[in-house]
Amino acid sequence: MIRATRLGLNDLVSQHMAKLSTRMRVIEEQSVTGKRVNRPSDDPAIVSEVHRLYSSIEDQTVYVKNAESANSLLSQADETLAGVADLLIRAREIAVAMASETITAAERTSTAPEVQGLYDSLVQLSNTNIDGRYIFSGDGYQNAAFSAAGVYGGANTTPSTRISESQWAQNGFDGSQVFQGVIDTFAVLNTFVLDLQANNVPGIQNAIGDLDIAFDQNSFWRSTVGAEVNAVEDAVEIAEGMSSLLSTRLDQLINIDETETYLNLNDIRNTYESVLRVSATSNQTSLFELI
Amino acid sequence: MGRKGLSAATAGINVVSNNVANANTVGYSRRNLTTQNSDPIFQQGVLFGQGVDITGIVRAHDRYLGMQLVDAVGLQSRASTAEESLKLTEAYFNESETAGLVEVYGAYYDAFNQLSSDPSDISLRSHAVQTSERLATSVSRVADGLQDNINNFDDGFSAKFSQLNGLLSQIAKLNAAIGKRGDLQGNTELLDRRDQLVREVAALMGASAELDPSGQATIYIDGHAVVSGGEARTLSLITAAGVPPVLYLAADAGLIDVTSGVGGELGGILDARSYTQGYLNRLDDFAFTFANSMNAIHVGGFDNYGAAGGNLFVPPAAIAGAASTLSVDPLVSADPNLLAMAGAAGAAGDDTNLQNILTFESSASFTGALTGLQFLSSIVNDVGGDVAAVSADVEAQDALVEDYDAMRTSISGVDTDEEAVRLIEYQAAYRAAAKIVSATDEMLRVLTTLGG
Repeated sequence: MIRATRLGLNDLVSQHMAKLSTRMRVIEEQSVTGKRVNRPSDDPAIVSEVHRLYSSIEDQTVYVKNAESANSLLSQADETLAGVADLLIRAREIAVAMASETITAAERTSTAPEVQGLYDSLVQLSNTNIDGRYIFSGDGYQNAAFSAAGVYGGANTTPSTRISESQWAQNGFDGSQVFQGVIDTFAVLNTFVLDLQANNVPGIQNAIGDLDIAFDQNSFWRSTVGAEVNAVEDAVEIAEGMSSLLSTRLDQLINIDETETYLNLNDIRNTYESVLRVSATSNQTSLFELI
Repeated sequence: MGRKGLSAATAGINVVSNNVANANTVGYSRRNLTTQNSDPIFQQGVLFGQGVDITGIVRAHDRYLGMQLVDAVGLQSRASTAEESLKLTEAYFNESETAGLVEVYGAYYDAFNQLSSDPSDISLRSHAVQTSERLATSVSRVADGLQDNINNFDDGFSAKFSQLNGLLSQIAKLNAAIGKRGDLQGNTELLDRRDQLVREVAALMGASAELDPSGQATIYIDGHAVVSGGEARTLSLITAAGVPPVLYLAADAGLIDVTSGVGGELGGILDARSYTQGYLNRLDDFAFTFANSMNAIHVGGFDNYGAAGGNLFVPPAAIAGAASTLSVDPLVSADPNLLAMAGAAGAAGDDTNLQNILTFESSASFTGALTGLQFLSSIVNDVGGDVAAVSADVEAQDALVEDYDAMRTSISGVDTDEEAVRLIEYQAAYRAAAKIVSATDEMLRVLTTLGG
């Protein structure tokens, strides 16, 4: 027969109350922090996954920042090349008009300053910069891309920024390729100016073909820039989506279900109070009271 | 016979009083009065009973359960001490905070990722240097914290050890007294005190005990007797900075290393120390590999001035201590332009070497063919797993000790209601014996009157 002594019963009560207190403290901590996992030992099985998730979420934040920063440079590059396209279209219109045999030498000479103006605009556009960062200077973006004479001053390597785990977006261009790769756009306009001044009709006729090549060259780079813009916009969308998914998963892993936690806490408090009442009642009865 | 009955009832009431008084005394075993009927005398061909004799006061005790409880107390004490101590270590790996090691390590690469958008930008460079310093500080802070814990464990071990020889000596003295008296049944007070001390020693160092038929206890540690009869052997502690404490037992053959057999609180401290030292060693391994790998990449690049790169981190002298001393090279700290992100001199946007740094993030260059993140994460994962395992052990050992203790209390504990019943019985017996004395007295008075 098991003898139930008062000391044994009291020990049992205090052991149960200590366990309930511990559980209550754990749930109270979870309620305060809003997290189910407050230290590695709370759920060691998920530690590695939580670390990967934290790291990946932070990575996505950086990728978004980098992609947005690249996007602003690329948008500026696209706008610049659109300006160059307009400039080349205007130059071609002038070339076609000035190639006509009905145009006099004086008229051709008087048109030269307009084309010189287009050349100056080209130099200005090719040196487009954001806060001193020259878009068409490649890696050497702290230096102006082109001199007034159309001499390239940048680097032949191009900068890029990381926009995903495995993707780098180009956020600067080698101006010598953009403006002088297939044909030297500066030289085309400069020669055109000289031909107008010299009333060199065959030269002006050649300029039409050269301007077409320069235009195609510009179009190619516009499409390249456009592709990069699309890539960074996609990267932003993907990184934001990933961040949201990863955050949801992290939330599922470490955060509490508030309703469940509240109900658990209530259950434990009720049990704790019941144990206290039972203990108090059992301690009130003693045979010695009746002797 | 009436006098004997009165004596027996009085003794019974004394035993009940003693039991009730000690109802809440830890380690007390309730006493029972044992009696037997006195030898009869043969008169006129008839055997006449001679009342009752008190044969002793015995304690309610289960020898086997007592030994089991000693073993269980040692295991429980070891597990709970290891858990409490290890939780102090776990506090340094609180990854729910933003300053967690893994979080800071991730932020380090995030800063270099951001720098890739403009490697020449001084504010991004400053940010990269700051996160490098933050990583170094975090690693160093955790390493220092772990080392502090190890030192505190060693101090705690020494403090607890200081009680040990005294306890063993007391047990030996009680053993001697129990043996000298030679009356096992009558040694209740000494046995209780000795058993309580044995449990205290078990809680302190996880000893096992054997009781011989004379009631003397032999205490073993690591298979060697530390108390045998009235003799206690001396345990000595050897401590030295940077190495775990070693316990030696003075034996006839010389000093015996019994450290591996130590359990209880001392064993728990040694367990926590061993775990913590393991984490610190791995953190040192991480810091050594990380700093040297980063430096190897960094010196291959070119800084913002076009000069060849120097060290990014102060090169650790050795693996041991690498975490504690991890720090960013003072020159780089003072001038972020010295970050060597370019692959060649001159171009501001050249991030060739920066890409090498970022590539290292996914390089399995750490022990176990792990990336830095995986390696750090594995340390934190193991800390959590070890604490959880020890906590589970504590729960199991608690349950075992609670069960044994409940069984011991069931056998040896005082039930006040039961004592109240026995009190009533002895009171009734006393009254009855007194009546017999009174009746006998009346009979004698009648006889005396007749004779007068």
